Amino acid sequence: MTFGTTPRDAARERRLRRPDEPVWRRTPTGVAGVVSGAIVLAVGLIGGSADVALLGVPLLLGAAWSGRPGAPNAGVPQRETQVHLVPDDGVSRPGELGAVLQVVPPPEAELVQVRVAAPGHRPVDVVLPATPRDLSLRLATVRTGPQPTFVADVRGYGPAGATSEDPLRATAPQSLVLPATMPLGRVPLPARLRGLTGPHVSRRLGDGGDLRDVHPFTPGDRLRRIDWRTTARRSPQLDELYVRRTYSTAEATTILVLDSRDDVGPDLRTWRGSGARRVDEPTSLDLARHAAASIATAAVDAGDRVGLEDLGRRRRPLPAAGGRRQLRRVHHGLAVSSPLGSPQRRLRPPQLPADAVVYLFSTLLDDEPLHLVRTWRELGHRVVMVDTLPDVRPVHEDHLRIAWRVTSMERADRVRQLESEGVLVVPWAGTERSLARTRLEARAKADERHHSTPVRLAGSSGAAR
Amino acid sequence: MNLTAEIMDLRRRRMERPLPQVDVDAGASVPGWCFHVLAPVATGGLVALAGLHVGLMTELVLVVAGAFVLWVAIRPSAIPAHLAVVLPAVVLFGAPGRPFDPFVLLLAVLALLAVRLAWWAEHVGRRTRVEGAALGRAARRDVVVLAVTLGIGGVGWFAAGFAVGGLVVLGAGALLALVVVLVGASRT
Repeated sequence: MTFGTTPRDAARERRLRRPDEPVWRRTPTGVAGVVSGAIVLAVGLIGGSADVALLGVPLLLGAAWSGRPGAPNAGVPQRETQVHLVPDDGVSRPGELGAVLQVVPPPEAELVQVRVAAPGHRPVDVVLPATPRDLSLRLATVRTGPQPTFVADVRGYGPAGATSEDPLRATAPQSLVLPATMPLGRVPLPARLRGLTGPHVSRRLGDGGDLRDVHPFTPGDRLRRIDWRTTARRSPQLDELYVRRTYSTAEATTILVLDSRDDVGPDLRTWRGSGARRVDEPTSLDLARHAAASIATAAVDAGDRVGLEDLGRRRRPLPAAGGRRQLRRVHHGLAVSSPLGSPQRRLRPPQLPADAVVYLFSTLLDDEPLHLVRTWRELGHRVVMVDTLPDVRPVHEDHLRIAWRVTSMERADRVRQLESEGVLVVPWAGTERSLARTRLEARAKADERHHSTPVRLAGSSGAAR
Repeated sequence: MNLTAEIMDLRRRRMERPLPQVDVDAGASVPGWCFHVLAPVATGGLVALAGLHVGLMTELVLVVAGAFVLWVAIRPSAIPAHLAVVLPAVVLFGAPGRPFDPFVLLLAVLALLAVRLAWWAEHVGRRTRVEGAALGRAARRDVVVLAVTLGIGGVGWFAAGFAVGGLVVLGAGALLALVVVLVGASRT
């Protein structure tokens, strides 16, 4: 949604306005009051009718007297109303954006009319007394990313509306709305863990809590690992010592791949870029941001490393790391991602760290995600597909209905293919979102059950007895 | 898009949820539609009362007053409101002569009311919120103007009882008002 310029700005741009031209002018009401009052008064005086002349007095007085009670000698305002829109960072509720409109009218003004508009919102008109004022503005949105906010048009009126100033405009800077998160439980982990420490139990020998086996003491084993009870039972003569060996802990790497090549809403008619999208309905990219932020939070809370890759942009990906600072970086990276022109087709899929679980957030409106998923799986990555297409509203136009029918069938085919290949597809739109946590936890538990029997590593051939 | 789709689309648009509204933290306010209702009533009432008072044909008076009501209701502006003040003045001017008709005091009140309400109706939308403090600030000045008018009217009514002629007094007042106008115009 765009807003035009005010007549004053347009006149300045065209150099039609002189620098010394007064900003306050007499209005048609003021002129009509003086003219009609003078006519009525003159008719009464000429005709000798005092009562007729009296009818002209309130018109003449109302239009010509520029004072008011308390300041009877106040003149016509000279300076323009000062207007500033300051972003309000103290908004407490999520999904709400705020700003403060500071209005400082000249003391001679009587009223100030304020019109506040925001894209996707109905504007509000308010008439206020012409006193210095800070107005709190709020708007609610479920959209994330860079969001245009408020545009305020302000106009001051002199006494009785006989004078007025040209409208003034103040525009609030764009706000970057970070995605909200949803609490998730356990999320699927990679098939192989990495690192020498971390929150997860790996299948390697090392320092950890979970018992792997009891093994004869070998050089290099730490003395505190000796299991004296087993040693006493198996080797009463103490000719051989036994140690308790544990699985080492490790960390998981989660890579979030955001398909920001398109950003579509529930209204099919806006898919071609025409028409305004509602601010109370999330688009596919909003859903992707929400899902990615939720999974990133769950992974970081579990002590894992998280990275971010954007399919829509050829830029350096955010490398995987852990911690709260990395989580903030991921959230910011998600918020600034947006479709940028016509996306080029990638010849190679993005390079991902080995042994990482990949979460791909896509609308599945083309075959590109399918190729990527297959390539990553061939490379040994575990892939979870998050379907971010919002629930599309039915359309009545024939051409749109047919187009959507074809598109949705192709899309359903892609989802079926992925599921048949063992890829978990998690819908994130509408009511399906509430089931996402259950789906992810079920898959995480299933993966855990599948790998519950530890795989013996080549270097640890010592058999447990 | 065929006709059926057009109708369905229109129906869908009507059923669609309205867009959310920007929230502005203003004080207690009066909705703008009040002015859009009251302005035609005041304008039509002024014309009708003046016409009926001087004994014009009722049907003619009602038609003219109705026309003003419609005009102000459809397109409120300064022109119909001020015309509605000039018209009673002309009607009163043509009425059988008497020194001072006290009924004009009521008409003067109505005249100011009609002009001010028309201004409000012209400048505020039906959904505009007019803060009570703003209304009070404007109304205080209108009360002063009205008090001065009624004061001049009272003096005129009183002076009209004397043979010397209240017109002289009223003329002086008018002269004063003209001076005020000229001074105000020179300041603007």
